[in-house]
Amino acid sequence: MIRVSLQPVCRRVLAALACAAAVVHAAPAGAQSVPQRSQSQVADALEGVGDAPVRTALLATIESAQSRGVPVDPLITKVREGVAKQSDPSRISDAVRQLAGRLETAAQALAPAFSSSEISAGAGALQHGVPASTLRAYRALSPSAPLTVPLGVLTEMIADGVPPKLASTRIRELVARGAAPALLIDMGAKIRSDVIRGIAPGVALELRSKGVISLLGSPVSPAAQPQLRPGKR
Amino acid sequence: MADSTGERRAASDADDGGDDEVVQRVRATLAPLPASDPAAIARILSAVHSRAPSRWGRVSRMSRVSRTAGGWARSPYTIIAGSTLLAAAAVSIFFVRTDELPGDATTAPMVASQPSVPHPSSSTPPTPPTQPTPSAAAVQPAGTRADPEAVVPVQFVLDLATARSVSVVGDFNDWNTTATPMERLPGSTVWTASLSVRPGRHEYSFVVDGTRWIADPRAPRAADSDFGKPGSVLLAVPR
Repeated sequence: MIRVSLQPVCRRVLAALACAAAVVHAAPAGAQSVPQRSQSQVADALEGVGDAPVRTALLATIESAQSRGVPVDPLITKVREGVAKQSDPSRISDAVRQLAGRLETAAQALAPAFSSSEISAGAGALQHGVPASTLRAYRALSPSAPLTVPLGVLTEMIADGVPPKLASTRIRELVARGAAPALLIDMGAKIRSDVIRGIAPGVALELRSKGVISLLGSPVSPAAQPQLRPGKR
Repeated sequence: MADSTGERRAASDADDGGDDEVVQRVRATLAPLPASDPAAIARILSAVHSRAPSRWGRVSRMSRVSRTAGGWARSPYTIIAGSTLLAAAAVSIFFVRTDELPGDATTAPMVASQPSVPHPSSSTPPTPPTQPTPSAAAVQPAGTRADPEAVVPVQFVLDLATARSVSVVGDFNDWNTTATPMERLPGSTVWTASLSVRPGRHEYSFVVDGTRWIADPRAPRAADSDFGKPGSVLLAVPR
């Protein structure tokens, strides 16, 4: 008797759980979640900025960015960096405003982003001359794995003098072949060593990337990549 | 066929004077299993079929709630318990996933027992206390598992004889000059600090005596176009 009355309930419970589990695991692109902060938290972070009008402008910049889904943490970190380095308030304001723009572009290009770290890495790449279209291409190649490290390596390569287009192409090729982050970082370090020894940056990249490619297999289709869920943090 | 093979193995072992313990273990492992009784198999299968669980019983069994015999799957209380545990499991999975939120040094265990390797951006080997390096480096332990978003323990090292205090600041600690003081190794001029960072590219500096900002001499320079202070770049490898 009891069993008869409880089974439908249990079915509903399990069905609801199954749906919840599916939602949690599927986490669609639109569900990108980046840490957001309350107004008081943002205001606390701005306390170190001495100039009141600049503080107000910063608050507006950060809130505007937050309303557009841009991760706020990198902006607050930039404010604190400027304060720690005792920079001029207006300089801090400029840096934060420019960073907010890059973060927004990166967030759109990398959607669905895995984390604010990944978006920050994308913003760093943009700052070094990588176009947003490249970020989109990377995301299309790697929809289920974070690009934080590949973008960081790309940024450093460009900082070392490798032409942005060439660096972007080679990193994209390596990502498509499923190169592990550690392999990319190792390759970047070797390229730096080569450049220090006098080899032209582009030549060093070509040499080192060929070596890495020889260790990898054929390009990996996005569907075959290890499944990680975007929007975790 | 199997029996004869086993006999040949046993005879061969005996010929070799196989009294060795290893040989005995190998022999025991390779010894053929006794022949099965088809009637016994039929009885077991019949018993299994006779108490085939309901659909919910199969679900509960899949959830590994209970493996007690005797109609447990038909009990409403067991069903409730199974559902409750399923719910708890689902909630646990949810929290495990969401617990992978930004880590810090306290939430990420330092893997001090792992062998250290130089950071790719540095040519300095891990710095043992007895062998201070002539300069500084950020090093991180190596690992075999690559969780692309797990925090990575990093050690910062600076050899600076003239410093009274040194701290490491970077985007990983919000550029807080008091958050990560470095410790001077006793009897040396080497300062060191360890913390965990997320994989990827990080910028950092050393703050000497609370006022002087210096870059890590052994790490790549960061182009600080925003504020113009010397800094370095750390590329943290996922473990």
